[in-house]
Amino acid sequence: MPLKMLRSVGQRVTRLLPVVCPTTHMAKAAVRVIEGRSVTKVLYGVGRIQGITTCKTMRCEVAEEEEGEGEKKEDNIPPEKNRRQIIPVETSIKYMQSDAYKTTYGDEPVWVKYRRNFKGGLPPTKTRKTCIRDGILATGNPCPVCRDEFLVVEYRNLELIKQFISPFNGAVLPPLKTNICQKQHRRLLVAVNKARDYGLLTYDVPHRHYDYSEYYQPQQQDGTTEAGR
Amino acid sequence: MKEATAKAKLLLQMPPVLKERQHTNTVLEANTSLHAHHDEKYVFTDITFGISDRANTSLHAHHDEKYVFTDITFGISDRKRTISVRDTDGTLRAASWEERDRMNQIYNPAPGRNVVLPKLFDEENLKSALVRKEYEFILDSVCVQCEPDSSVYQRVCSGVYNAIDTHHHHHTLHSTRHYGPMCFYLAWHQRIDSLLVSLIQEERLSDAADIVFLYQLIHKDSKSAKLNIDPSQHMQFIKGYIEEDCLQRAQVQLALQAYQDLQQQRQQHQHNVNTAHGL
Repeated sequence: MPLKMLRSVGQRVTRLLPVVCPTTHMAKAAVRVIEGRSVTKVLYGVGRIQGITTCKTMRCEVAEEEEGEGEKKEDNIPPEKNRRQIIPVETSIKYMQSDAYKTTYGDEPVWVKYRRNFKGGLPPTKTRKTCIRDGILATGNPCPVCRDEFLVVEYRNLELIKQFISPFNGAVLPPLKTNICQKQHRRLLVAVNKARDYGLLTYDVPHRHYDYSEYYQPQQQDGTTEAGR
Repeated sequence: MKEATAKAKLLLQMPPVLKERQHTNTVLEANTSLHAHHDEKYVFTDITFGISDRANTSLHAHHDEKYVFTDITFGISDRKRTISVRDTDGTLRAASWEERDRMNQIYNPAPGRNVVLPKLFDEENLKSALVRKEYEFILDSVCVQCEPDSSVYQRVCSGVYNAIDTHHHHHTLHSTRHYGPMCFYLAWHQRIDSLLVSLIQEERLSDAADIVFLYQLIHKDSKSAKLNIDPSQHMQFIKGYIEEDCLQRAQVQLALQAYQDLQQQRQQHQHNVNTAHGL
């Protein structure tokens, strides 16, 4: 019934997707029609509007179908939340030495000045799963690594990785302490293990004890024991 | 204090210095039947990719997989463990050294050891680690990962010792467990001169004399060994070596001379102080 009324006013709305896109001029007119008193009386009497939505995604589909003008998804992302651009590690390494980093963080690790938001006195035992969903910051208070797009957690970026390793016992600091999201914490663990494998990060190697009798027994003719077959 | 000394002795245990192990190809059986061994436990592991855990496999020939038989009896050391491989053509042979290392790590994991070699031991990464002077870390890592007679261990250790010798960083290994093997390596290759210089400059004449003594033990027909100077007379002992067998004579002589001058100056100074005090 609402559709018939709109047609009677002379507005054309696509039948395939009965969706109103308020951004186009025709749709704006349609919205005005809907908001017009004569229509609303009847509509309120009838009940909720069926078949007309102002959903964001549906809006854009209509726009593309109708006229080809309309905004692409990328333009809707506020630039401060856009994380679609991949920053290379080399840039991140240079950034760690730059004045911009120095003025932002000083000499402290990047996670020190961050404050995590939660209800109650004790923080939840896990940090959030991830701050960035589909290349866009999905939270209002992103974790210390996600909030700065030039901090790339990788095995070559030792300056950054070392900030997340305890200076007292060489262990990776728990995410409850550093407040980074779970995804970044997993990437950090991989980066730390990789850096140790390449020898870029040193650690306390466990002590190996040798039983000399396995290697040298003077009674035998040759000085070494043969490995048993 | 005694406990601390005992602990320190354990930590300072020198890793064994061995010749590089040779590849051998012992064939145990060339036929396809597998005899029963009653005194050891064997684990037969079919590690072919793609077979489900419940597949019924038989031990006869005409299969596409190699089987590795590892003796996992408790109490046997990794070096004496029996590890054999049945190839696809039915030959039962002793496992190669690399296969042995892998199986030992799989069935008897050691702390800090991996099945796959760390990338630190690749040429490029090793070089950059040596530039950063992480000698003790590299040597500790290779001790944990490899056996002392494996080729990787020998290559890495010799790379480290050569770098230390070239850049005169001998002091980095003082008071570590790797000092002994390093001295042995240098003495074996007749390159103890820069080590002697650094020891004399640190005024450790007795240690320098010990190095010369080690050299003479290894090279029994060296000229300085035949001089038969008493090793406890450090100065004469080292001088005997310098005159006969030293390759960088000038530097060691210079260092020794500087040491002697320093001792004289100190004695003179002490004498002056005593006379000033009226003693």
